[in-house]
Amino acid sequence: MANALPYKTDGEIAGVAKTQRNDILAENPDLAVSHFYHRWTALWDEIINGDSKTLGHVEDFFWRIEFQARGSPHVHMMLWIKDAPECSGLSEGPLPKVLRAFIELKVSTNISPAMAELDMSSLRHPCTFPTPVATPGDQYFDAHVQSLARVAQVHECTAFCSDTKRRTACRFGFPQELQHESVVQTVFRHNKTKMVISTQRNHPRVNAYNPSILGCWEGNMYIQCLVDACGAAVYTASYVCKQEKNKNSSRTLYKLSKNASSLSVKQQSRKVMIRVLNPREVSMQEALWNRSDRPLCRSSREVLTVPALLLQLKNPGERDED
Amino acid sequence: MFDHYSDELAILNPLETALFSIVIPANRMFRRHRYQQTHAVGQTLTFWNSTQSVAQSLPRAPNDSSFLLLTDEHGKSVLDDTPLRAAAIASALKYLKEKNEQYETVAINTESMHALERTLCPFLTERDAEPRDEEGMNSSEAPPVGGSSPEGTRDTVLRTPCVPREQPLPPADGQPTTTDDVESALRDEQPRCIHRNRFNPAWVADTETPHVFVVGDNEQNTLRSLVLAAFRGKNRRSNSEPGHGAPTVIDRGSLTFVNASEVSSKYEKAFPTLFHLGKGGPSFERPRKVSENELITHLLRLNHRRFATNAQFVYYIHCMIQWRSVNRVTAVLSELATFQDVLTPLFQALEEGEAHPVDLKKTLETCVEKLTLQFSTIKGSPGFWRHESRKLLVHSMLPHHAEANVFHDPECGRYVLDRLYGQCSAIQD
Repeated sequence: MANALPYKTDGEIAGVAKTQRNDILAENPDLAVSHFYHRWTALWDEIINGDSKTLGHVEDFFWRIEFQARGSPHVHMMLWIKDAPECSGLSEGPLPKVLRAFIELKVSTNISPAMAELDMSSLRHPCTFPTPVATPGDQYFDAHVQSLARVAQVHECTAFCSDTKRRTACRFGFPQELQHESVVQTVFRHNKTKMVISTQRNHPRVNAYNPSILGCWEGNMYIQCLVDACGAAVYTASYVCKQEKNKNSSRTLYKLSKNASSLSVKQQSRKVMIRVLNPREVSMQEALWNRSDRPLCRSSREVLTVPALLLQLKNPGERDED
Repeated sequence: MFDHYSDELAILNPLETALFSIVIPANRMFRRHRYQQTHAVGQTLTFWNSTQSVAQSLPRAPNDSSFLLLTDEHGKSVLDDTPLRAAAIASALKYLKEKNEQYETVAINTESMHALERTLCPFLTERDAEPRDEEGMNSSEAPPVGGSSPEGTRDTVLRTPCVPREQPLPPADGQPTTTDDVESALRDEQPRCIHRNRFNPAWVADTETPHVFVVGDNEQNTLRSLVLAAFRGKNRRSNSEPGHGAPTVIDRGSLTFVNASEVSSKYEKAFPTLFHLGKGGPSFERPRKVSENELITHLLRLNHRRFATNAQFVYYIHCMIQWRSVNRVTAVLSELATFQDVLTPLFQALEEGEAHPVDLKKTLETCVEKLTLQFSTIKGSPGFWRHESRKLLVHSMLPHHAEANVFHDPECGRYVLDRLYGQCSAIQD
């Protein structure tokens, strides 16, 4: 905000109304992109993988930058923590002691009662404060985290997550039951029954967060513990590697399939590529992110594709025999 | 080069800039409101050819259909609060004629200038729908020229009335011919009363719609279909595959469409307010060669942010670089087929030990010739040929292959090529 409004003082910037903030964001997408990029790299390098290792030693990871329809970037990531207690083979009921201690240390769904009763209208959003307000270890850090949890972590249902006219339930499962202790539960969500770890909870609408990361990130987050390999696969397929929505792609594929017999595989793939990739809607921030050569995803493991063509060239005789 | 920025150009809005741009790309940005918040949301488009119109005289006429300015879902245009200022356009043109080498040969269209200053909105508005025949085309429209039309064009033409209407122009006699004359003419007419579409017989008196161009329900139609409909079929591709030999310039009526990939200095011509001296784009000669992507990255990160905040520029370069990457992948695919045709018998011959040195050399030459046609005209010794062939295949082909890493691994390609040239060198020596 200070870069977008260089002639205004901190007090004047703090008093800018929400609609004005949105206009400033729309007019300065480059600042928004670079601001998010620096914040994210600082969080990743200095907090998650820094000396403190808030979540533990990250052994494997995959993260991906995603852009909402209105253009704002956010991160989906999956982390594998070294020496974390075993989660597989859990049954419904209380968690084992070691696992419970580990999870409650890393993930919190609690909020201080005084903060929970506070009127939201009197609170300023954390992004309006000049940072850093408090750093880990300060005496005010806990209070800072609690105020952030109240402002940024409490879920409020909107038309995005539930249809208020039809009175459908929130697709994120809010409000959730209060928990006196962390347990393993069987829940029915998205037409599926699955096992989830429900941490100790004293507020029905608080998203799971890590207090240290929340204090530094000062923005919304949602942390989940994956119970089994299936959950990891589902998360990877549905969130981390989400497909790009394109309303024409399915129609294109259908049209293409009608004439598929007359085309080779190469021609088919080329046609799909041309049709699907060409008219693609991007936001201003996404276009800037891409053209500035900033990474859209990163992982600790890489996939190497070995071409069948060159293997065939290398051993032309063996291929025929096979 | 980019730091000294003239005030004449800094005050202009996107529509005014587009009016005196030599080249206009077809892709445009628009805004729309979601969740009661304003955000810049755009759409990138890729056309295989004929996506730009080039003007020989500026500013562009009101009946020029090169503009496509979309409304948001609430009916508001991007340019609601950006009125056309003929005086600002005139001073900017004067500046560019003096400073910008790309504008030396461009003539000033005084008729267009007067038409612009007589009306606040010289373009057809949404309420000025013209009657259409059964085909959905105006009777005044020229029949489509060229090859097969892209899919979806017919549907969108039927739904989208976005044809600019010709404005009554002032008589040509006694019109000023230079920039100074234009400015003096503008001064003489002050004060003037501006009426939107005053001369348009179909003008609706009660309209407060500030749209500057007709666009139908853009939430239902894609931007691609809107562009195709707006250009009335003039933008139809004549060949469906990339890399075809389409003519560079296709003159259809009053508009001149050119192949997007073959316009020299297109950045300087399309964005005169960003490259105000007529140089600095990817075609500018530098001591150290930089790629288009590197240059764009540098421009977007310049501290004065002029390039990064220009949404038209960002969308345009994003579209162009995306187009290149898609095109390159398809080119690599087709080249791989050629490569495979040539190399498969070569490797078979090597493995079976029946190869003849002359055949190998001829095969290699055929391979190189097929990959790059222009390279076959180079004359030189066999050693020079070997050196150049190796350089071409290892250093030119492999970077392309490395980018298309979905299809193959560059290390494997390097291994195959090294093995091939090792065998060839041993046989020829």
